Amino acid sequence: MKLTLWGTRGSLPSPRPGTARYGGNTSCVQLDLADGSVVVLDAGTGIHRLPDFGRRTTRIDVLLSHLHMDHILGLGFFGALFQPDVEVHIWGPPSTTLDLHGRLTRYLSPPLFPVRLRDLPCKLVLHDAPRGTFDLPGASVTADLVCHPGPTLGYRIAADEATLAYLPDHEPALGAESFPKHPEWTSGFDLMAGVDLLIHDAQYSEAEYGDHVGWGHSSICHAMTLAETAGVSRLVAFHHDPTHNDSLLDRLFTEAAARRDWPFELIPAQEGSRLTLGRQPVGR
Amino acid sequence: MGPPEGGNLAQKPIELILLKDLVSQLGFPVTMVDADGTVVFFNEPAERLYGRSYDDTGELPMADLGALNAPLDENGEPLPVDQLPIMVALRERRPRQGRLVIHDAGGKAHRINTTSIPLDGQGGTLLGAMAIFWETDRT
Amino acid sequence: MTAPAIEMVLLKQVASYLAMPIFVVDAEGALLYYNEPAEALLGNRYEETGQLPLETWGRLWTPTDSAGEPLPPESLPLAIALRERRPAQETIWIQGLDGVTRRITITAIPIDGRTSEVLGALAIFWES
Repeated sequence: MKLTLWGTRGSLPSPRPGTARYGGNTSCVQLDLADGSVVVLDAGTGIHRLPDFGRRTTRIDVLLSHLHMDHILGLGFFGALFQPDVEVHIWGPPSTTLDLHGRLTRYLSPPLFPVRLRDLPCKLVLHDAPRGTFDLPGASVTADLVCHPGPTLGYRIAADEATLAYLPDHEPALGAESFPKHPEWTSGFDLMAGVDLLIHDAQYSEAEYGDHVGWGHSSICHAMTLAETAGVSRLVAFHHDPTHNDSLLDRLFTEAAARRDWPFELIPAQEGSRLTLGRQPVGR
Repeated sequence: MGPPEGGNLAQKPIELILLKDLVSQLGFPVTMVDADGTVVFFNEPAERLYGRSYDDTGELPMADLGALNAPLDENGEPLPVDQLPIMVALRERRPRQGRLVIHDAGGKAHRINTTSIPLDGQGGTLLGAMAIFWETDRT
Repeated sequence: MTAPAIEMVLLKQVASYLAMPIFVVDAEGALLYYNEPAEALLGNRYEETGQLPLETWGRLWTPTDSAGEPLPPESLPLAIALRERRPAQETIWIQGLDGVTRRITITAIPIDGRTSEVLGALAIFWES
């Protein structure tokens, strides 16, 4: 499995010279599986950096964690949606009253967007992701609701002899008195337990989190403590705050890593960076 | 430290997790059961009323908590577990109000009013039930 | 703007995940939130309603008793729960903003924080 981080920023796209290294595009991760399948995690502005898949790819699955704007803002600019011979499956959190089509249409329709979903050239298939495990080409995906304002899914993906968990917007410490000492009472724990790589919300410094309790995000320390408890091998610290420039992020992550001996590898997410897990795609 | 091993450590549904976090912050007694009727949490005000801490009891079948609290109905008759308002709410999936007497760890009787509500998750999943109760007067 | 109490933040998140219609008010009875299942029953989305004082939302859905007599806002279970700081339950009739009249049973519960201050109240309702 090969991962490419195309958008690592949270809340608001933040392109400026001071954010060039960590990046200013919002959440989007591309997974290239060994059998040639492609899975895209979230459709923030980073999705516009995905390559042209050409004729090799006839199906792409997009897993949306939730429908906050920073996670869907790039959807209308996703090239695969405009390719008639490509099947695009979009999976999103369930709702009790409105299906995914209805909710996406709130954005992808005039006046907010000039192109309607029904006018997209691709073969578009929308799914309310089930809570539980379902199969995609090349991968087994487990989805479950996690602690974040509004219906929000975390995903666990097993493919190519590796496991990955994606929880880009997550506040498991909210109201939890002994976080994260009780795994059975920790939001998202089952999704991330023992994974090879965890991509997790790490938006705030400890000092900032105090003023943002209930906003749906974690501090860097929360993410690291959770990764340790869950026994993950690598933690990609994700969803950087839009006000954090590169030098500040360097300092925060250096300080966090130095705090003690962590039993996992800490990878501050940088736009454009590539990671590998398990078996590799052939010929890509 | 890796993931813990052994025991019933499957993660609870997110709805129960958030509800437990909420209930932990509240100033009135609340008891929560899961879909099987197992007591999964009671908060500090409930601990004071029961005279027992949740840390000591841990998760336990409602029948066991009932055996400890020896509930009585309004007529002073022993109340079977399946007639407790929280269990009726769980079974019938509708709110249930009731008046009963429970006994704390010291054997002292407490007259309480209780409102129990079932907890339904999306997709029709029954998650459990919770009982809010307050003491009316001491007997 | 003061940050909302953590209890109310958690309550709103829990409500957004539960399938029962849930309605949340603050300590003054002003409408704070209702979830999607409540939207279906009330006939419009919370975004369309917004935060309204009790005197306003208490009349918005034209609550009446079984005889068809209008119920004043202060007699509604949520108002009773806030005022008397105890759960309250009642069966009433409402007219949703979609024009549909429904008979609902409301169970209202006050939300008291650990410092015993009243933070608000929640109501769960069932179409009966």
